[in-house]
Amino acid sequence: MLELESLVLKPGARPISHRFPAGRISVVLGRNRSGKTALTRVIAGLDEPVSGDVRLNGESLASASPGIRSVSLVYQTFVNYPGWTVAGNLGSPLVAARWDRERIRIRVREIAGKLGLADLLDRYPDALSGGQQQRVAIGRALAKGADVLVMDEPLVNLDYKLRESLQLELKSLLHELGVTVIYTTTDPRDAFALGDALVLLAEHTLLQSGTPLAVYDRPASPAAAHLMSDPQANQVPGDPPALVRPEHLYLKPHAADDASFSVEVLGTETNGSETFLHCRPEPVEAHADHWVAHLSGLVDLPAGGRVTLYAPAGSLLTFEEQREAPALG
Amino acid sequence: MPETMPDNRAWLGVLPVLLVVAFSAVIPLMTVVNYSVQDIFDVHTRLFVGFDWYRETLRDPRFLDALVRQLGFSAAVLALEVPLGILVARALPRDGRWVGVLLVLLAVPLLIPWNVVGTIWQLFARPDIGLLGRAVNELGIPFNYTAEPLHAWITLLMMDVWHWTSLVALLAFSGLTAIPGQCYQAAAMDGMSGVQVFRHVELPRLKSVLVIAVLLRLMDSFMIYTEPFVLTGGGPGNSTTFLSQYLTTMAVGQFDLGPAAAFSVLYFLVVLLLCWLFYTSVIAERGER
Repeated sequence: MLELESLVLKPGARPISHRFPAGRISVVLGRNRSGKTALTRVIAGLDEPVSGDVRLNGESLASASPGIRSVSLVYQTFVNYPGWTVAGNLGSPLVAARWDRERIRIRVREIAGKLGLADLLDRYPDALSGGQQQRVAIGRALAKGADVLVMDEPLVNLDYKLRESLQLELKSLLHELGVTVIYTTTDPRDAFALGDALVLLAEHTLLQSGTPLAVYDRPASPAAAHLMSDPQANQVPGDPPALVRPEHLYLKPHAADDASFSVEVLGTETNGSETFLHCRPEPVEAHADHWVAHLSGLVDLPAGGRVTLYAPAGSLLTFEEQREAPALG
Repeated sequence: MPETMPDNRAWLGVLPVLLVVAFSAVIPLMTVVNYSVQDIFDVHTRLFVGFDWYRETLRDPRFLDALVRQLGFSAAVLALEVPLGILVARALPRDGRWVGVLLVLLAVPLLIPWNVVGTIWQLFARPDIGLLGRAVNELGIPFNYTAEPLHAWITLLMMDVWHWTSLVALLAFSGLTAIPGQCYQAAAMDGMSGVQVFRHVELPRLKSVLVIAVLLRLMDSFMIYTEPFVLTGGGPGNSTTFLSQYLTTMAVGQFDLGPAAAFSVLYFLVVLLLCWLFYTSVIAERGER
């Protein structure tokens, strides 16, 4: 099990204490510059934390150099050794660890088989597609046989279709291997697609953690709600202020106690199966001038028109007080 | 639809370029080729001799000696300057405010005219008044580049290394700065040693700039003239007489235009051949991938 103990990533940031469950995939969700990469680098040992400690199975990693700790890292860019074939790349951590040749060969075959690279072993990285290059990079990380695999937005540079298929494949592969995975991303969908556990990160500190569903259902703060919503959650004027997610807004009421909002239509974006309705709630308030409703199906509403949107009463997110995000353990 | 005649007038557009190339390259070169197959006595008396001058040049022991010396010199220059240049480039900081200053300092020797470089070292290495030559002698090591062929060679190589290593270093530095930091981090995560990082992370990515560096240094060192001329005048004996100097003696000193022209053509072909051999061997290696 990997534990963060009062870890401070940046001077002035609140310390993070968290346990990443062993053998599970933890998704770390945060916007750009929220400290995701800083966290991965500290866990990998490439950077020193400001203070605090990283513990693996109870032992502090503070004095272990990156090459020694049982942690491997996959970057968002495809980092491989250009002078080595796929086989050489997959075996590279083992060469550095001075394994003998026969053992490396067996291990490389095993890894290549799991990642679908068996036919590409003699190719050089520059002769591979982006998806294949990233598979090689993931394979290199797995070959090290580390207890912890840190992946820093590994699929962000791949195209959409490839990303989805590789994501599913990765999920089953990583579960099968039983390795503890820390997977950073900016996309809330990844949290549901991959994550056994979820950590929300903002301003270099922990916002909330739990299972993806629990965090989605009960965000601890408006910031957590926004982070787990794409597009952002809409602000409901009132006291106390509330949030309503775009996907919880409907054009028709479902129950008598549904909340209703009168809005002015600004425009629609549709792809046939779903429609994003951009609108402005009335009366206009400065802080809530742009809402998005995520509606299913093809909806065509003229700009400038007025409609009423309904949200189930239970879907309004309220927060007892505008407290600062607690550092949950 | 009736078939139209092909319109070839577009070829006329190439004419200006052809003229420029003809006057700047082909015609002067052909003049030399023309001289190399004739024996010229005066403006009106000339005799076609075929490949005689080539045959004579290739049998000339002084040409062959100069060629061997030249090959040795170029090989030594490459063997010294390329590794040293890479070492210097690796030792430079990648960022920070001193980088600019260091790069300018490195470039200084490249800005000095060749004959000045020769003069600097001619004085610097003199055993009687030169700082280096005098100091070495004072240490009890006899050193006199005007009398000892080996000493002349050492001085010459030191001079060339001093003058041109910066070029290799600057090229290698540009190659090194293009390597993403993540590649180094990945190697650190793999637990690679410093030597392994150089061998597997840096060298493959430096290959293309090093090809340029080697080609430049190979061509330049093969045509070296000014520095040994100023430093030793080709001596002691003929021990530092390289191809270009022998050629100049032949063409300008003795006015043997026929043999000198044949020599020039051979010289040109040797340089071309070496560069081609080197380049194709590098390309072939890439082609295997």
